Amino acid sequence: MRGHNSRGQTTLDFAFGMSIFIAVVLFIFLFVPGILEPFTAGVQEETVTTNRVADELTHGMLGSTRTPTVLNRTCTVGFFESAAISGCHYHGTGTLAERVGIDEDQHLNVTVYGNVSASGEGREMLCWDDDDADTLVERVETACDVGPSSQDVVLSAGGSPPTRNDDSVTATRVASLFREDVTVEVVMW
Amino acid sequence: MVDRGQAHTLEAVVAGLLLLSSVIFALQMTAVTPLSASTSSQHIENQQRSVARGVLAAAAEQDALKSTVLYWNDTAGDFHCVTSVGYYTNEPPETALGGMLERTFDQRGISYNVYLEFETPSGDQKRKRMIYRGVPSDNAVVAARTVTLTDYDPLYGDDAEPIPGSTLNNSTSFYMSDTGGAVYNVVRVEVVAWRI
Repeated sequence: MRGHNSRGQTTLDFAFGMSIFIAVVLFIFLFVPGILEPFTAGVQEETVTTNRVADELTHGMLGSTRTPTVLNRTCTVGFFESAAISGCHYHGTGTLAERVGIDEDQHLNVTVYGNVSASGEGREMLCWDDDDADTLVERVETACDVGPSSQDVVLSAGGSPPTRNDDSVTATRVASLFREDVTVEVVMW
Repeated sequence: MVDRGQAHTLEAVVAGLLLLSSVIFALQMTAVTPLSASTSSQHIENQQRSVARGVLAAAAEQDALKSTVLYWNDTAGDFHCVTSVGYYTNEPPETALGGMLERTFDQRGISYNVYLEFETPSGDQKRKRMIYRGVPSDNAVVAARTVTLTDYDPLYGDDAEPIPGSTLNNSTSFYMSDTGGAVYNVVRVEVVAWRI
């Protein structure tokens, strides 16, 4: 049996006990959201917007709403040239963000990929070869000579997406352009 | 009264163990894998569905659907260059649609099945496998497109070119039957795609 003078121990014990308990509670409250984080998208806004932009481009702006995902060659090349072409459903002036109808402070990249070379493995960024053959070529080929004297158009617009950024969201659509199957990728970050 | 100090520590330790064990129990109960349903996997499913639709629309625009549906070896009574099971397993058929599927899905680690659905003379719907790679996962997506075949559509050779002089009416072993009229049959090309 201990006397009254040993009750100081109780307070200390209580402090130890409560700090252990609170530490565990804090650990759990910090740990549980951490394990769920990869599955709750932190970029809700971009997720919706990329899909809207991708659908808008492939289902209307670059082609016709009557034939979704069949792109018009003139409209598509004109879009990446920032040209105003009659009969196409977009404005020729303004920044890329303005033309697709998103906020100026959102970063966007629209690129058309494809595999159009006979021997080519994998997909490459595409380019409209205007001054040689009037055909689609891959960006890496020599026929795609982009310069002040050339009318060739690289089918890509917007800034370059960050290579290491978890917050970028990509929307992918497959479409038919100049009787080739191409992939339209919209990246936002 | 004097023993209570000891009890506080023990109770706190027990409470902490309880909390930790319930978290561990909850983690064991729910297998959170990369394939679990979430907003991000929903986003990927949406992309795959749009991509599958786009492939079919692009194929329809380039008349690639019909040449694949009619890619039939009338003598052998099977698709061209097909395995003995009667459908393609590893490689898609060497038609324009097969090339598109390969470029779009195979190179991105997405697996797919292609089914052909058509009407039998008795009026039932029959589903035939054209490309089959096993049972799709729970997160698979579907896109479909219909093709109308007429009595005088030609069959396609193994080079994916129409065989001159051949018509569906004259074929002996084609997998569909004439449902009457000038329309031979209507076939629904269905693509089921899922991540592997």
